[in-house]
Amino acid sequence: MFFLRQLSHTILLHPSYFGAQLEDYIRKKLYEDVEGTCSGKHGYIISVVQIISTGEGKILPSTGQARFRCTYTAVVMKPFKGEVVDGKVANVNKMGFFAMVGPLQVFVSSHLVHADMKFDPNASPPCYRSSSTDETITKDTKVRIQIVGCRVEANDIFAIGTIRADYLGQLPDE
Amino acid sequence: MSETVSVELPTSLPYPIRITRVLADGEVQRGTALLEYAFTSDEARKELAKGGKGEWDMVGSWDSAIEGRLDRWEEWVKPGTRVERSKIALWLEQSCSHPVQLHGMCGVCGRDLTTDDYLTRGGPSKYAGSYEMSHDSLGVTVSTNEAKRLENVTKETLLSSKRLSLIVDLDQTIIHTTVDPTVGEWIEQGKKALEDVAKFHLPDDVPLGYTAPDRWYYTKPRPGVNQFLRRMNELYEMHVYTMGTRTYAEAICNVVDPDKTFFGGRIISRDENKSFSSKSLKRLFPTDQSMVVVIDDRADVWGEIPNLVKVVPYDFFIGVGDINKADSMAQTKLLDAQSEDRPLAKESEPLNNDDAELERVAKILAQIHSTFYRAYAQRVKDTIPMGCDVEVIIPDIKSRVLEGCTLVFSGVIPKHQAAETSGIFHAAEMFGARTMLDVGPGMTHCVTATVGTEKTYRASRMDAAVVWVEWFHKSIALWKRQDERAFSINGAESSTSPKQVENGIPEDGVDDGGLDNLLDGWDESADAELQAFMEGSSDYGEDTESVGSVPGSPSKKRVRYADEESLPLESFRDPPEDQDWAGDSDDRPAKRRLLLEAPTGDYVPEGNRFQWDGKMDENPTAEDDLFAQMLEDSLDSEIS
Repeated sequence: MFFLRQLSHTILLHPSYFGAQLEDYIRKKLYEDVEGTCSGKHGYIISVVQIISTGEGKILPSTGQARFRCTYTAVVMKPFKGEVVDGKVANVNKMGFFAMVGPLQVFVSSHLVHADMKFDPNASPPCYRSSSTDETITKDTKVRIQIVGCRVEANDIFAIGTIRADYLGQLPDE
Repeated sequence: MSETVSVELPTSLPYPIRITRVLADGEVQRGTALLEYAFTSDEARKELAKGGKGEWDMVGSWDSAIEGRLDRWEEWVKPGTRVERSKIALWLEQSCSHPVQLHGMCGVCGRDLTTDDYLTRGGPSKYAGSYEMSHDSLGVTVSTNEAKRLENVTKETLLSSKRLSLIVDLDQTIIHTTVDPTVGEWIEQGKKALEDVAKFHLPDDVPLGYTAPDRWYYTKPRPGVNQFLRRMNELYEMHVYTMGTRTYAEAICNVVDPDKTFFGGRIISRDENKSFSSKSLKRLFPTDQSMVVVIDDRADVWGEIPNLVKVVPYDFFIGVGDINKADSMAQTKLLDAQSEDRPLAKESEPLNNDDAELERVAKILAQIHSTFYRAYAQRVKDTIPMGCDVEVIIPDIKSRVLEGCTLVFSGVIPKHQAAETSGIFHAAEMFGARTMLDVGPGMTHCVTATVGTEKTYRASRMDAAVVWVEWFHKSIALWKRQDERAFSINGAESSTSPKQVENGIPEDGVDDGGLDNLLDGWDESADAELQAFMEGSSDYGEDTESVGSVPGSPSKKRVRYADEESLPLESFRDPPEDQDWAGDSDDRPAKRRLLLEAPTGDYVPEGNRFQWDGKMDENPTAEDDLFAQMLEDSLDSEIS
């Protein structure tokens, strides 16, 4: 799920950057530092929407670096158990497949694939193929997944998904 | 995914115990007490030993480490039962048996399985088995039961398509790679042997101070590799298992398998392998290896597995070796050293483009395949016959190589080693030969490393073939009994020198574990001979089991054979080229040694002592040689 959250980030700046371009540099650095990162607490930081303040720089004794406490609002994505998401299959093997939901990698075990879908190891690339319908799941297939569980670590989120329910599985190509 | 599982009493309980209360019923959570028991403390035991009382003075409880619904208790579990050791106590119906796990999270129910508490001993809880089965390492592991299920599925598919699994090593097995820039220059010069050499950059091999990869890798496919893979693809499902990095493995597969028809995505590299120094079949086939054949040029990385068909290493770029043999830290150094030292530039030998090894291996693999499916064709209903096991078929084929031979080794096994425990004895028996310690009736071959030993003499009078040890090494390396005549010691003795024997062996330089330190060996044996010489005995024909004297001088190109794997690589140093005396017993360097190591202890008058001004002439002139010759002659005459 996506959220708009107010977050803060501390930037240490070397004295050689002090000057007219300082503000610009801090903004640029903030974007570089936080966008695309993942924290267990907030989830993936997708995009910085607004920089609320860059704070007052405070020179640190001994190093001469300036410390800026920036506060900003950002779109974050955090997966939850039970959530239904759309993703794209990245990797298929006999144990299941991995789908990318934006930055999040979701693993769907072969136990949680429709019962009539069987792994076909001889196909190139390997795929899950339904015996009754023409549904196939292979690399780059778009799928709708329900998240079964998430494991949240300090800098990483792992998710388990299922397509073994109604309205889940392969999405028709637009 | 509900499953009923058996639960054993933990081995950590203070046995013997006596069950006092059975507690669990219905739902069982992690940590729920299953039963209570009494046991005897150490103190009480001491009392008892003295004849006192106080048995069953302590109580404990057994808590469940897994959750589920109680299915049933075993019959014997009731209050008052005395238990001596761990056994199955109850059956739990688990709502999820957690067959697949992703980074410690169940892939089916999403539960976190890494909880670490008093119920899990020895670190984070490890649920039944945790095998990585896929070629990639994305953190998916499976339980033992799930591994078995998946393997059965694979097995069914293979059996229905009449194929087996083949694990293929890359370096020096089907290709040879170097980073020596000399190759690039040679390609530009248009050397014919280098026509099919592929060159590529590795994106992750960026030298310090560079932003883009700079090093070129040159890969020579082994002659006939394409045909080999195409043929094997019909008989085997092929996997790549290499000690190189992932990017390297993919780059090589682009060279040998551009359409991905042979290997598909079935590549496993050092990045996915847990170890830098060993490969394991269990990594891909955790429970059942009966349909897996391995081809590799090194046996040591696999340990003793029967599934291995050892390939003679492909050494196209001479002096380069395997660029992926070391661990990652040492490897960077190795690559740097190779790029700078240019071992190939020093090599004058022309690159050799004939190599028929893959053809030989293909024949063996086809034989294994046909043996397997011949046995399978005789199956009764759905039971798979015993003979359908690669782990039986390969040793069987091997044991026919030297079938009917009874070998006696002479001058091969170092004296200090018990012959029965030596590697060569073991190898001989693996390849079906019988071994004897001494010459006796029934022997068929005397395998020798030196001329004129007592054993060879006695053997030659007994109508047994007396052959050089190369005969043995070549036979077991090629899985084919070699023609004894080409290796006969008599051929060498009569009119020709051992050199001629060598001509029959394209890949020479085989020797036994005891012969590794050629040069050191020479020093000792030469000294011994000198000693004998000075004492007036000129007989070096005694069976000295001399480790140092090698017939057939090792050529520059050295090949490692199966039985040499246990030796460290360093000991495979090539002897300097100028030592062509090695094979010729009449022209041993003993005389020259005399010059270098003059007998000490003899009284030499002051005036006659050799004076050295500390300056050494780097380029000896003809005069120096003459002087040396004179000295040598005079010493000779003195001794004789």
